[in-house]
Amino acid sequence: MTGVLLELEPALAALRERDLIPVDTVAVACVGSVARGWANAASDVDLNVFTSSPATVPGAVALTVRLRPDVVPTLAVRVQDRQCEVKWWTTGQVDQLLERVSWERFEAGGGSARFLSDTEELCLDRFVSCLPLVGTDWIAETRRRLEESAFRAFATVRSLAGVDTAVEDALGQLAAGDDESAVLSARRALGHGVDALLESHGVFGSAQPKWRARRFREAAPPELSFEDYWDLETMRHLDPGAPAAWVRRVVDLCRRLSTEVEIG
Amino acid sequence: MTELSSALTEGSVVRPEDGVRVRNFRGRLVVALVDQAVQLEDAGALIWRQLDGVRTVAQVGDAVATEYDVAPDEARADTVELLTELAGLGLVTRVASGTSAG
Repeated sequence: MTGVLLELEPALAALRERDLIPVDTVAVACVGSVARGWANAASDVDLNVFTSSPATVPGAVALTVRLRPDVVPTLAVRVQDRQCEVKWWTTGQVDQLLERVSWERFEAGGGSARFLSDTEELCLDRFVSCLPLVGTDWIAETRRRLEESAFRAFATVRSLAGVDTAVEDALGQLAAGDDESAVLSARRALGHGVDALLESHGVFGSAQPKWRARRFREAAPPELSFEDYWDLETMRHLDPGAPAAWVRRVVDLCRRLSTEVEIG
Repeated sequence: MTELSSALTEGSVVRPEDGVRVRNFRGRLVVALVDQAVQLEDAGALIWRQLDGVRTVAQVGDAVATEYDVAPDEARADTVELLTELAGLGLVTRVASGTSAG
């Protein structure tokens, strides 16, 4: 881990040289695959900068969020031979996100399918696995607030809602004799079901299914072995001539997960 | 109570109805279908988890008897009663009936 931090020093220094670390910066964190130890030579370095007031970043693309301010500036910066993608969040925006995933909101019926946008959810879930570069104490405190929030419950309920819809689609399509569509719906159901399982264990990142196997190994959930998961993810036992059996196997698993995945 | 629900016996095989949604809130199961919803805890939650479309009602009841150290006859009767209620709400459906498990 120390080696990774040393590698990130040039990126941080380059951002400072280009006046991209505002004077009221509270924290800077490396997030994404580099922070999680999953990066390869082609991976970007993802950085989140947290400031007290909105940052003005020339040339940045503005991501829209349902917060105040309602944009998150994003900029791709080349540092030596690495592509860095930087986002500038305000600490106020983070406070608003944490309020949106409070237990008060969840228990008031806030456990709906769409509780945060992908951008907003990534901001929060990346606190769990980020590497602090600046503002270690603030990042640690934010992690603590996130752990105590209903974020895990919100994420799990959202994924379980996806399971329900996809299972209903798969069964309806099977009944109509549309086996090919049923297979695709079952694949969706499997993805949502595994994401719900991992989220219930505090391992997030469902917006990026490419890392699902990595997340699964990290979580090592007792409810499902990696071998059984990978069997289904790779569709090892699908008979293209008779796919209904595979669809039902996935549906049975999803139903079991819906019963076993614990919320809250 | 539907004709189906009144026919449930220890030899029946029951499974969740398609479209039923289940949530596990710290061990308490909430089972819902359209406008019907029930909360199942402890033995009720165990019974629900046993409904795999293969086990008979008697076998489910025996699992309850083992887990909660109660008389099998009592557990089986309670299981029939609960599943009859759930069938009446449309949350479970009978797969097949067979002879009573030993």
